[in-house]
Amino acid sequence: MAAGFKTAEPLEYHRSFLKENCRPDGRELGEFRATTLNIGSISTADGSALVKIGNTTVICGVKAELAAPPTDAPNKGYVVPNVDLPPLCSSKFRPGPPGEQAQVASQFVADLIDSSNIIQREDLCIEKGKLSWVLYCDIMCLDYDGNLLDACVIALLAALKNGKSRLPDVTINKETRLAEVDTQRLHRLNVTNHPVASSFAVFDNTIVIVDPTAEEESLAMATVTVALDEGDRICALHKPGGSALSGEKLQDCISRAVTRHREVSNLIEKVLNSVKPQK
Amino acid sequence: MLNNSGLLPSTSASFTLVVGYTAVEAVMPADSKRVRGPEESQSPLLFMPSTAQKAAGPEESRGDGRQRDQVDVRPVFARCGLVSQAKGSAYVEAGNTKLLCAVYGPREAERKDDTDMKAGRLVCDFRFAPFSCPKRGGWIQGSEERDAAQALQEALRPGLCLHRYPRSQIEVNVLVLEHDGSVLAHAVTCASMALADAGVEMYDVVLGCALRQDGESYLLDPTLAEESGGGGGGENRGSVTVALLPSLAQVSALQADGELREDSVNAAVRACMEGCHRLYPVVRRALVNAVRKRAAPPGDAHS
Repeated sequence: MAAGFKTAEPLEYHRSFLKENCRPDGRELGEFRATTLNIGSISTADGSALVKIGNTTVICGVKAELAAPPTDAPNKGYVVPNVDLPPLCSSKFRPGPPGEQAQVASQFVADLIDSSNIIQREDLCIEKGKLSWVLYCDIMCLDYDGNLLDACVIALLAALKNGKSRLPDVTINKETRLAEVDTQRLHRLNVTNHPVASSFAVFDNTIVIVDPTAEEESLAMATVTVALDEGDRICALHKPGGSALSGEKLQDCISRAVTRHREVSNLIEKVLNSVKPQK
Repeated sequence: MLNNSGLLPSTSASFTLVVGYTAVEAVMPADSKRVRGPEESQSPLLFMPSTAQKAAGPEESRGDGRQRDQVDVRPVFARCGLVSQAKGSAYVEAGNTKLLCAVYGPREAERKDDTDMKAGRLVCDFRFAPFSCPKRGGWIQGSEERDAAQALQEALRPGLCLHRYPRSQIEVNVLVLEHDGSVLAHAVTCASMALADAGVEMYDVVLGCALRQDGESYLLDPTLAEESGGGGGGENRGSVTVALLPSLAQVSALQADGELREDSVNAAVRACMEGCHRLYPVVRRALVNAVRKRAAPPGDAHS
């Protein structure tokens, strides 16, 4: 009977739970779903991570290639993120060019990389004006159940910090002017900042819940994503339209995001330390 | 000053030619819907000193301890029901090859022609993740993916009872997370497990197995190095992929390329069929476990 009510009046169904300060899957309003992380599983990628937040599953693979540096910044390399939502992950997505949600997510991740300096782009330069690394960070969603942005950010961070993501040394041969790649000598990517995102959904202009599932996202009046870095500074705040949110509610979101940052950082540290160091 | 670096070779061999674009030089077309990267980039593998891969000679053993000329498939890990949003899903891992498949449907088909009235339609979509191959693939679907999707559809169709789903379409989406050889064969197995997990009516699961013929000996379930190695001519080199319905002992798809003698092809098909039979118990067990997990535990109904 509850299933019938849920299909006919989904908003009322959710409201009846929110009145009791809980949610249909039994969580509290401020509780995140169980987050699991697995790194280094894809051996063809230079770094990889698989993140599951509840049912939402996202995998990030990093591949490093060589290219000429951008003309406006000859001493920097590129970090190119891309988020893809294949039709595999949910029946909402059709095959073809990336839809709006995928483009928004890609742009959010790109902006986050720039503003938080996860990697110093100067580190990626091999020779100024001639050669630099390009890190293609391809993020694919395998199962979409809400809260895509959080999972993408965690996956990206874990893939870049992955013990396996080492770049071979590249030197320019003075005579032939060609690049030479030495896979024997590897140096690790230097991750200088660790941003973590937390997403919130707003119901009925008043109730703010954390980590919405796909159903909750579709019923919410607004969503907010806050990304904080290590010093508890805000790197990015993403609130794409929706209903207005008061200052205090926003402050609550930010404080919840601070605790989330610690939880996720501990998780990533634990997982990275548990991987046996390779030679 | 613009790109004057003589460091990067001007013909990049690492991109597949994108069908539909008339440019012959393979440059990534400016995709306005994705975050922009550099116009051209090369994989560092191209610049490695050429001490690299020598093909395994006919007397050498295979890298992972399996034998030549023996029906030695890689141990397979198979699990169903991983994608919560899909009707049915399956994940298969064989050595380093990792594939995920999700099935949606039966759904309403866009009415295109009369045959839809009598039987359902099977639509397959095959994708490589960009990080799945040693050289990064682009985002736009290449011809290899389209071919594989077509082959997958031909292999799966005989196993499904499509006449039970008139005016509907069943969508199968396969994603290759890591490519380490015999991808099409494992995709067939993974897709039929996902279809069974989705509850689509089938005559039998369809299992796939691939083989690489290397001169006088064959390698069953080749890895990527074994598939592409063996360079230089040599007689009797090629690969064979077979899709089999095990309990009916019927072959639903057979794909062979290369230059193979008739007796080699016969032996290869027989070896592949034997390889499929080796996979069958693993697939059955995975499906039974998935059903058990889904069924309510006994005693719940009597509270």
